[in-house]
Amino acid sequence: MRELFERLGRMAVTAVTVTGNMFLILAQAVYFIFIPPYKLRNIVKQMEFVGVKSLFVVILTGSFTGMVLAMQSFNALKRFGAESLVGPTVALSMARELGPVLTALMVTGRAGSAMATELGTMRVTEQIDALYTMAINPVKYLITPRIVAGLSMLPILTVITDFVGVIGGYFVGVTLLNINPGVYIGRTVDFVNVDDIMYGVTKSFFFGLIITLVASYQGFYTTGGAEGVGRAATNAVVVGCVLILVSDYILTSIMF
Amino acid sequence: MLKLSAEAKVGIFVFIGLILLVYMSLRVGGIKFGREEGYTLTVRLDNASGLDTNASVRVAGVEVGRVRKILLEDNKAKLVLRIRPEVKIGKDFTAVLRTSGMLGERYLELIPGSPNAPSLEEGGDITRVATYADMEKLINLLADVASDVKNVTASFSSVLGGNEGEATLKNIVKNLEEVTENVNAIIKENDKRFSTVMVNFEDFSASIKDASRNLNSLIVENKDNLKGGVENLKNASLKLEEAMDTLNKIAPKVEDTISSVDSIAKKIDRGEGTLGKLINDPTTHEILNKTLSGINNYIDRTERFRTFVSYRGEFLFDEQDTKNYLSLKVQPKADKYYLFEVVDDPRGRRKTETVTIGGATTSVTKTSQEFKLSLELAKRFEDLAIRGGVIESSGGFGIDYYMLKDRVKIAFEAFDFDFNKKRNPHLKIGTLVRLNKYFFVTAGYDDFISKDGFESAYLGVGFEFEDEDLKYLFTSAPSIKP
Amino acid sequence: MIEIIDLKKSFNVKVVLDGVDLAIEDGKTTVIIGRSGVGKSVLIKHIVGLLKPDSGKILVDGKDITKMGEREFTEVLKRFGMLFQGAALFDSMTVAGNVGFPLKEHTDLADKDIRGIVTEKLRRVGLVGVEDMMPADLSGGMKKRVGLARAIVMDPEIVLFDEPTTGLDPIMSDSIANLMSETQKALKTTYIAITHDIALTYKIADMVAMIYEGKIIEHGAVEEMKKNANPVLRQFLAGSAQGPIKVY
Ligand SMILES: Nc1ncnc2c1ncn2[C@@H]1O[C@H](COP(=O)(O)OP(=O)(O)OP(=O)(O)O)[C@@H](O)[C@H]1O
Ligand SMILES: [Mg+2]
Repeated sequence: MRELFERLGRMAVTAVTVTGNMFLILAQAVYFIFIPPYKLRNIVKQMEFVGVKSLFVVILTGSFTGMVLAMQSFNALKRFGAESLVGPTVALSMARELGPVLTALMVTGRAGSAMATELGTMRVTEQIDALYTMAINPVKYLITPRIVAGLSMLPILTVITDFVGVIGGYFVGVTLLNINPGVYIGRTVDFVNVDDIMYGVTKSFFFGLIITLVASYQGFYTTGGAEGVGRAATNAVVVGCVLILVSDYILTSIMF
Repeated sequence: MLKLSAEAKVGIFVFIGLILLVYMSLRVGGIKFGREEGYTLTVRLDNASGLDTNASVRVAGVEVGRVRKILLEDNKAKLVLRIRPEVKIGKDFTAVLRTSGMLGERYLELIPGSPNAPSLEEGGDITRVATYADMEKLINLLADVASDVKNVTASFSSVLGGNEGEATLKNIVKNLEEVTENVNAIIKENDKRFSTVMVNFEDFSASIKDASRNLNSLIVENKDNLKGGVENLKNASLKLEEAMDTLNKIAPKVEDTISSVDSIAKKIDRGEGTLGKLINDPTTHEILNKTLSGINNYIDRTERFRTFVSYRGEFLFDEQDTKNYLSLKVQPKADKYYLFEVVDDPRGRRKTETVTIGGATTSVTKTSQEFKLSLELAKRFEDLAIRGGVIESSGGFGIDYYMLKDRVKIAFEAFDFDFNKKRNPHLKIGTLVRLNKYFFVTAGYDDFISKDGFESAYLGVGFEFEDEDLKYLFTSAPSIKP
Repeated sequence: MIEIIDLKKSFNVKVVLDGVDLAIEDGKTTVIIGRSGVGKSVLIKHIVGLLKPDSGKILVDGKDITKMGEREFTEVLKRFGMLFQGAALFDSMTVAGNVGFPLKEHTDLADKDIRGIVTEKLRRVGLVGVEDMMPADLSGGMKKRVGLARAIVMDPEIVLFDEPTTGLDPIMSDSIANLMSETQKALKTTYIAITHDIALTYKIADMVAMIYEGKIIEHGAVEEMKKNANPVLRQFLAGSAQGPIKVY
C-alpha cells in the first residue's frame, strides 16, 4: 500500500519535473533566439536536416494520402451523386488536418528520433558537458537552432504536403475515376479558402515547435548510456506523436 | 554533379514552399493585400442558420462577393456583405439564403429586380428578403399542412356529417349512381335525336357559310363605313381601358370588397347554419389559408400549384333573386384543375318525389332550401376544357371554350338528369368576361329547358383571387371574422 | 588558486565525496590519484561546474563558483580547459573542427589562422594529417590526443585532465607526459590531472593528492609523497593487491 503511494508520488513528481524542465528549456531556447551572436550555420544545418531531408518522405506520404483520400471519398460521395466533391474533400482534408498532422508525424518519426539520438549520444559521451566547459551554452548552441528549424520548416513542409496531396488526389480523381478535370479544380477552388490553408499552416508552427522541443528535451536529458539513447529516441517519437495529436485537437477547438 | 551547400538547399526549399503557398492562396481565391476591394452592403434576415462568415454572395449563381460579418441586431441576423467593385446591386434586389450541393454549403443569392432600378451605394441596405423552402422547413411545413388538411376535413365532415349534410351527400351519391346506370339508356334512347341534331348542325354550318359569303361582299361594299366603325370601336376600347384602370385602382381598396363579402357572408350566416358556420368560422379561414400557402411554398419553384378562390353572384331576371357561387379552384397543372363550389340557389334544390294523395300517385317536384355543392375535375385541351363530376349536388358535365387569351369564356353545362323524364336536365349556357385580374362579369341563360318554370336569363359579377392575394386579404381583413 | 572546502556529494544514497578539502596552487601540476570509482572524475566535474555539490565550497581566486550566476561563471569557464576521460569529441565535426572549436566560438581569428593553430597543436600531441578525419574514424588513443589538443588550444590558465594517458601505448604516454610538463613550465599553467598512471604522476606532478573513501587522505609535494608512510598511499603507489585497500 505504502509502496503504491510512493510510486504514485514519484510519478507525479516526475511528471511535474518533466513538464517544468521542458518549459524551462523552451523558455531558454526561445530567449536565445533573440540573443546574438547568431549561429546561422547551425540553424541552416538544422533546417536542412528537418526540412530538406524530410522532403522525400513528406512528398511520398502526401501524394499517397491525397490519392487514397480521392479513392475513398469517391466511393462514399458516389452514393450521393456528389463525385464532383472529391476535389474539395481531398483539398480541405489535406489543408486543414492531414497536411499538418501527417507532415508532423512523419517529421517526428524521421527527424525527431534522429534529433533525440544525436543529442542523447552527445549527452552520454559528455559532448554536451564539453560544450559547457568551453563556456558555450548547450541550449543556445544545440536546442535553439533545432526549434527555429522546426518552426520554420514544418509550415513549408506542410504546404508542400498539401500541394502534392491535392496533385495526388487530382491524379486519381481525373485519370482513374474519370472526374472532369475542370470540375475537379473548379469545385476545389470554390470550396477551399485561403483561411483553410493558413489554418493548417498555423497548426504546423505549433507542431514544429512540439517535435523539436520534445526531441531536444528527450535527447538533452538522456541518462544511461546507449540504452538511454535508444529510450530517448523512442520517447521522442511516442511523446511527440501523442502531443501532436492532443495539441491538434486543442488547436482545432481553439481555432474554430 | 553539382554539389549544393546546406544554405543553398534550404534556400531553394524555402523558396519552393513560399511559391506553392502563394500559388495555392491565389488559386483558391482572393488573398487580398492591404485594403480589401469593393463596397459593403448590409441585409437583415430572420434566420441565417448555416451561413458562415466568408460564405459567398452570388447573383445568378456567379460569386460577386462574400459575407464578411454576421451580427445579431434586434433579434435578426444582420449580414455585412463585401461586394466586388464592378458589380452593381440594384435597390430592388431580393436576398435569399440558399444551399448549394449535396453537402449544403449555404450562400446568399441576390435575385435581380428591374434592370433600371438605382444601384445601392457603399453601406446600402438590401431591404427585400425572401425565404425558400429548405429541407428542414419543408418537413415542418408538411406536418403543418397535414394537420391543417385534417382540420379542414374535420370541418367538412362536421358540415357534411350533420343530418342535412348526410342527406346532401346521399343525394349526390344517388345522383351519381343514377347517372352511371342510365347513361347508356339515355344514349340509346336519344340516338335518333342526336342524329337529327347532327343533320341540323350540318345545315346550320352550311347556312353560316352562305352568311359569311354574304358578309364578305358586304364588307367589300361598305369598306368606308366599316373603317369608321373600327375607329369607333377603337375609341370604345380606349374608354374601356380607362374604365379598367379605374377598376384597377379600386382593386387595392379591399375594404369595399370585403364589406360586400361580409354582407354576403352575413346573408349566408342568416340563411344556413352549418355552412354559414363553415364560412364564417375564423379558424376555417386560417386553416385554409395556411394550407394553401403551405402547399404553395412547398411546390414553389417547380410547377406552380395554383389555387383560386372566387365568388360570383348572378342575378336571375325571372326569379328576381341572386344565385351565389363560392368556389375553390385548385390547379396542379396548367391544363388540369379541380373545382369545389358551394352554390346558393334561390330556387332551391329540386327533388322529384312520388306523392300519394287520396289513392292517386303523382310525382311532384319539390324544392328545398339548402346549399348545393359542386366537385368537378376539368381537363383542358388548348382552348377547350371539359369538366365533369358533381355539379350542384348532382352528376353532370360541362364544356368551356376560352377566347381572347382566356379573357372570355363560353360555358355550357348539363346536370341534374332525371331519368324518369319527370323533369328536364338542368342546362346552363353563359359567358364570362374578365375585366381585369380580379373582376369579371357573367351573362347567360340558366336552366333553359326547365319544365318547372325555372328558366331565367342572368347577369352577374364576380371576383377571383389567387392564394397569394388571398393571404393578403385574410391577414388584413379582420372584419370577416365575427 | 582553487580551494575546495568540505565538499560533499552523494548520488541517491551512495556517498561519493564526503568532505573533500583541497587547495590547488597556481602554476603547478597537481595530480589526483585514487582507485577507480572513488570519485576523481566527480571531483573535477565540480570544479568546472558540471556537477553541483550537496554542500561545501569551491573557490576560484577566492570566489565561490557554486554561488555564481550564469554569466559570471561563463567568464570563469573561459579560463579553463578540460580533457574528458572519454575525450568527448564532437562527432559531427572533423578533428580540425573539434580542436578549433573554442577558437572559433570565442575569438575573432580567421579560419585560416585557426587552421594553423590547430595543425600546430595536433602536431604537438603527435598527430599529423588527421585534421579532416571524423572522430569516429580515430582510435581511442588518437581521440584522447585530439581531446588534449582541444583542451589546450586556447592556452587556458587552468587545465583539467581526466586520465590523459589511459589507452595510450607507453611511448606515446611518455611523449604526452613530456608535452604536459613542457607546456606547463613554459606557460606557468595550473594543471590538474587525474590518473592511475604512477609513471606519469612521477614525471609531471608537482603536488599529489590521494582521494580515498570520499576524502583527501594525503596531499603534498611529490617528493614528500614518495616518503609518506600512509599504508593506503603506499599500497596504491606500489600497485599492490595486498594492504588496507580492499579489492571487492
Ligand atoms: N551521474 C552519476 N550518477 C550516479 N552515480 C554517479 C554519477 N557519476 C558518478 N557516479 C558514481 O560516483 C562514483 C565515482 O565515480 P567517478 O566517475 O568519479 O569515478 P572515478 O574515480 O573517476 O573512477 P575512474 O578512475 O574509473 O574513472 C562511482 O561509483 C559512480 O558510480
Ligand atoms: Mg574517472
